[in-house]
Amino acid sequence: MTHKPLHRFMLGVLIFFPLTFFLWYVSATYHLAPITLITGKLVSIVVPDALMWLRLDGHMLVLASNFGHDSTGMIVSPPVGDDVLGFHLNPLIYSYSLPLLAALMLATPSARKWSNLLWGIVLILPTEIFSMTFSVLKTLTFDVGAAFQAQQSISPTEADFIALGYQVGTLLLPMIAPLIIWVALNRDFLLHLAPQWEQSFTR
Amino acid sequence: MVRFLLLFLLVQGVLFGVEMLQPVQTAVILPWTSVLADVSGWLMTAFDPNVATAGKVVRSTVNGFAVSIEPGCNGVEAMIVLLAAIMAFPAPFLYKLTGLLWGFIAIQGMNLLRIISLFYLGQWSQALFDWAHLYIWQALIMLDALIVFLVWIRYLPGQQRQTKSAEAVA
Repeated sequence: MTHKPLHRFMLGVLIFFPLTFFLWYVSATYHLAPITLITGKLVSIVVPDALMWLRLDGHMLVLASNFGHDSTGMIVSPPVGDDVLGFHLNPLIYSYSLPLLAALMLATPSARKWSNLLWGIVLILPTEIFSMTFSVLKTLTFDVGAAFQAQQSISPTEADFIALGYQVGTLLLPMIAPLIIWVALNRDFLLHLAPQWEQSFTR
Repeated sequence: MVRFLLLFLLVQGVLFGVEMLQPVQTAVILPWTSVLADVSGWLMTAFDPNVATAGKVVRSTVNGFAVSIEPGCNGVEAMIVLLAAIMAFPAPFLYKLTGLLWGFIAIQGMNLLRIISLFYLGQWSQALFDWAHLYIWQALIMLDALIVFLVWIRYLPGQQRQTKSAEAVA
């Protein structure tokens, strides 16, 4: 460990932060692909017949629902002809936890920096899947609306739960997941900063 | 470690639950957000007379551009994260209060910087505004909370003595 680990860490974060964010943005199509694939399969299991497909268009998520308007303007499922209710969602609003975590990992003085980074990326994936799943469910529940809720027999309580899941997945999880993963994987660094913490680690 | 993380998650879960309650939103969060808008507006009028605030909205009187401070942009979530981390960490109570006070100043100071920067960025470029608003500032505010926490644990009472004696042994 270095003489001034905290100073070095803070400087490292300042250096790596713009770099990881740049890489994250330009490679969005690639790192969002597995999340989109898994989320699509998950949503199809949780709410069958509600989703036609889920795809990436650059860094935007395109959701084609299995709903459309009939001749009277009512929302029906399956859609009539090509009139499908579709939505564009921005998955980067909860995916920013990935470059934040990467910057933290790269800035931490550790012999296991690269393996920690790899583990961090693996561990952050489920949180992104959670966020994307609830983002899709929220769109179907509140933007497709009553037709979707009727099709899936979603009660008002379940709709509230979906809204809460969306709030957690968008507001809370992207902020705390990188911090928790970083703390969990960098025990040595934290002990070096605060040797007193040894007692709490041994519990 | 597990104890710290569990306690951290528990405190955070409870506080976020409380924050989302309608009475708390009405009595605490919305007034606080309005205060933030007023303070940022007041700071901006020091160098820009064309700024007006109304409730949680900061507006330019020249071009009509406005920003509304919404949940997730008022620093409350970052404050809750820091509060949960400090509460979960084994430290003297008074030192915890000191950490919370400095954390509040650091997070809300950074948040005022966010609001002011976004207000002018939005008038200059919508694309840059979106980028800064949706991704960069969110991460920076969390980084701010993390740095406060790390500085706080670094200077725990008795810590320097322990560090020095550990270095002497080494």
